[in-house]
Amino acid sequence: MISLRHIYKYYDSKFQRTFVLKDIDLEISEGEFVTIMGPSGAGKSTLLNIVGMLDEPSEGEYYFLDQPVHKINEKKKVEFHRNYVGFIFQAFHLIDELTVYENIETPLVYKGMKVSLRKSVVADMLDRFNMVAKKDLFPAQLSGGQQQLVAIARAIAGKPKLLLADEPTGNLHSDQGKQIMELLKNLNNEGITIIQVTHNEEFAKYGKRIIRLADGMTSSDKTT
Amino acid sequence: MKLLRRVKQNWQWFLINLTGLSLAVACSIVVLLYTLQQLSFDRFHSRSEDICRITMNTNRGATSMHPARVYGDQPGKFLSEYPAIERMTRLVPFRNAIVKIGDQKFYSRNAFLTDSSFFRVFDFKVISGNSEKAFSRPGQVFISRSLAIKYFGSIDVVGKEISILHQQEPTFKVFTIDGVMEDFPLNSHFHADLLTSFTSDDDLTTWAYTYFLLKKGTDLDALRGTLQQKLETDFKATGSVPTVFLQKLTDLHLFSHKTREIENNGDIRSIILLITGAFIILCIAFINFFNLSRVQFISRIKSIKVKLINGATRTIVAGEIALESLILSIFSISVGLFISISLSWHLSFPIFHPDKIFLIALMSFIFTFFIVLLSVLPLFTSKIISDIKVSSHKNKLYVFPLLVQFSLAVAAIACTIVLNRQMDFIFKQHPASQDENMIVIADNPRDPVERYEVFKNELLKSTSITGVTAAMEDPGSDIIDAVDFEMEGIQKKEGQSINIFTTDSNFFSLLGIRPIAGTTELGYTPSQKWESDAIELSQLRETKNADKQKLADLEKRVGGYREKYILNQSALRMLGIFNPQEAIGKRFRLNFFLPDLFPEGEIVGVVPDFHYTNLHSEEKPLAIAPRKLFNYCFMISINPTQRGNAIATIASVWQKINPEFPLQYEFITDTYRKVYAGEYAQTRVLSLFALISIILSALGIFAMAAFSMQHRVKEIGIRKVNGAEVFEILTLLNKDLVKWISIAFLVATPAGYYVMHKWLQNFAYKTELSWWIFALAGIIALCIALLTVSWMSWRAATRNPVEALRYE
Repeated sequence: MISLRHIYKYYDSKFQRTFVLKDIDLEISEGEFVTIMGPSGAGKSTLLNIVGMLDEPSEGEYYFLDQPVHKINEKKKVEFHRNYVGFIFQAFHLIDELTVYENIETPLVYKGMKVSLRKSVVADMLDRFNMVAKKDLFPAQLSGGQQQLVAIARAIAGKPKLLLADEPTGNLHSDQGKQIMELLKNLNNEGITIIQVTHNEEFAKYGKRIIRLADGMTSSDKTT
Repeated sequence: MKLLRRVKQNWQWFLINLTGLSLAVACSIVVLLYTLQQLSFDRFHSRSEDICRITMNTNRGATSMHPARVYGDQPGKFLSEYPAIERMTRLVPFRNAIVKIGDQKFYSRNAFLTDSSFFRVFDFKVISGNSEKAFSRPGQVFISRSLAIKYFGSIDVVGKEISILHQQEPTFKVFTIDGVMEDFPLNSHFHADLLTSFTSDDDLTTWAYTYFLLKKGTDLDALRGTLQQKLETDFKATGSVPTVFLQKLTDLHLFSHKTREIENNGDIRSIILLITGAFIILCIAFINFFNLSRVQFISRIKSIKVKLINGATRTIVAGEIALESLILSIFSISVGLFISISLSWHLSFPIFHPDKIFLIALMSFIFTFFIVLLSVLPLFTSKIISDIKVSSHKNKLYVFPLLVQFSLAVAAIACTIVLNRQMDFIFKQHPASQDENMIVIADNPRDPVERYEVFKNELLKSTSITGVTAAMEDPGSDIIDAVDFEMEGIQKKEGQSINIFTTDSNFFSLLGIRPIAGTTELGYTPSQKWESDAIELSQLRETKNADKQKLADLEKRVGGYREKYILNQSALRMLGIFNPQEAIGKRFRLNFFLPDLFPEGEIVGVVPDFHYTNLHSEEKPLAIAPRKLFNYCFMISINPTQRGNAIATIASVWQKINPEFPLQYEFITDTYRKVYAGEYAQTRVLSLFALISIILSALGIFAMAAFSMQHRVKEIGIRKVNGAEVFEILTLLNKDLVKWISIAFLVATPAGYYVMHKWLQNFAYKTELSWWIFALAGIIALCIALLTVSWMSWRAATRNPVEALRYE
């Protein structure tokens, strides 16, 4: 599903080139649950952003569902975002001025889904995450764990094939974190490919495969 | 729904934008329609492009005049000699005429004698009567629809009679109504209510507004050149050749500012000022909108990015923003239209015509387009958004728009100060302009003028009246009559004349004008009886075989009086006398066509240029003599403790002495104000515009300050935790502002100076453009800005830093 070949990411300043990622080769197939770990500045988030097509590699080739992402245009990328990729962030990144319901609805609207269908999908999501009573609240009125649930609901509402999670438990206490991780595990069991970035060794173990990064390079890649 | 919520959440932004934009819309619409109305003057005639008015400058040095009317048969000669002139029509005003219909009497300034060609030059609509044969025989009159309705109650009035008394003639003339005209359109430079045929041959050569209808395609300049050449040969003998001018009909309203215009004209300069004002307000409102939408954009960057990650395209996001600004702009246009319509309704100024709907719609469309464009501009120009990752970012505000805005506001304040100062200055130059107890009975008919002495004596019997005087012209009008003169010790230049001004002998003391040499206390001055004797004597001298006995009798009665002349400073300047004392006691005489009316005498006093007349033009050199028969304007000083009583006295005395004439009076303050009505209106409107622009700028800066505070809460918190005092933080926050406003001040000063310098050129007498005006304007702007920002920053700076830092 995902194939990264010789991916480099660097920033040029006047006299030197700072590497964030160096020669990353990575194959991820459908249905995997991958954890990326590593110290601060190792390039975890950059890698995730490249995979999520939010960032572009400086060099290298990236194939997503056999399509060369390094060659496709903005429009096609939007297509991918709409249909195949969902995101979760450490800071949740809900839209403050929209209600829970509307936040979950957002990707469906942009996908061009019909109103009636949209309603049933969002209702399903609310039901699944036990948030029916909270659907008219605004993000600021929810706890961190609840906000992350909304974010996950939003990320999977469009039935993506790939879910990218950038430290999804980073802002949560451990109970809430566990709850989120269980949820991700279930989602993976349902067939969604998940790539998560985390610092937490315990939560890392939810992944079936752990990739460790150091100084922009893969230092280990183990399947548990 | 979501949209409504956004508006509700951001109601402050929405309200600030709505205020600014709707005011800008209202100002723009009013100014635009007003400008169109002003530009449309006199264009409704089918051949308006071929009509011109002829005027002449007398070219007589200091006493030169260039009135809107012409005198004599010269235009008639031009008509018969030059085929390029197809037709000519003249309008001889009855001046402040008295119209008598049945037993109703009223004053009208809109009565004219005219030629039979009138309706063939101008295309005024005739409702009844034959316009082809109009004014072809004596005694015919056409009246306007509103006059007919008002005094006859119907427009079916042909055949009825009307009597009209020319202001300066002794008897009414009777006319038969020959037709009814539709009221002249508002955008005509004159509005005749009564048009009559000529009654005597004298009418054909007297002062008349004279219009030529030219052959199509006639070159106006070439024709003028030819006419001028003709004048050169005709006037060679007389010494001073007048200059002829041909003014296009369509230029009269906005570009003609001659003495004795047929009606008060508009002024292209005031239109340019208005357009500038509206443009400034529009700019400020747009800048506010631009700044605010940028600020809103910045605070929205996060949600925009999240939307993009969730599959929105930039076009979709732009659409959402555009929809909001579309709603804002529709609201603004509606409110603006409402304001402008109610304004024009309130001022009873009909600028809204059905045929302007398309234009208004077009302007609204353009306005909306720009608003939408400005609102989405940040989305497409911002670099922040091209980096799609959701991350923290620094953002700088645009300083430049604020700078422009404040420059405009400073310039507007400065201009308003100058405008108001100049009007105040002008007003105070006029004698007795602030005297609340001076009543003016202006533009009297001939009969009341002849009964002046009786009127005066009768009034003075009442203790409520403290003084009565009279003068040849109304306060604030023009003195244009000039005559030849002789003065001891003065070698006159050829053709040199002096303007003549007659007053009652107490004129100067009553108006509080002090002589700079000699005296204005004249002692004995001749009575009106003496004046009529003097006229009779002069006329008798001209007649052959005059009654010797009568002649001797009259000479005995009239002779023996030596005239007491007073000169003004301009007259001394013209004569080259620098020390006023030198003029006192010099022999002087006005060579009037009735020689006995202004006998030889001495100069007894010199007065300063006392600015009784209109200050648009320079003071004329005046020879002032105590005569009463030309004094068409009466002035009555009343006892301030008995005002009501005084007015009742004036009314009853008038009724007793002049029962056949209605009394029309006003306070001298109003008389002067009327002269500058245009300027006052201009000043008021522009002051309003300046106020609006200041308020809008303040709103703008308020919003920006609110935004930047929001984003600096953390910084302020950290500074406070590290020991900064409130004052230091205030200084920090206000430092930039002072810098911007200083720069704005530097930009605005020369611009404002230039504009006001131009405007002041309308006046012969002007205030100084002192530096402090601009400094004051800068300080006002600075104060407003500092107050606004300080209020915001005070709130931020006095907050508990813990609160600010809690969430980070």
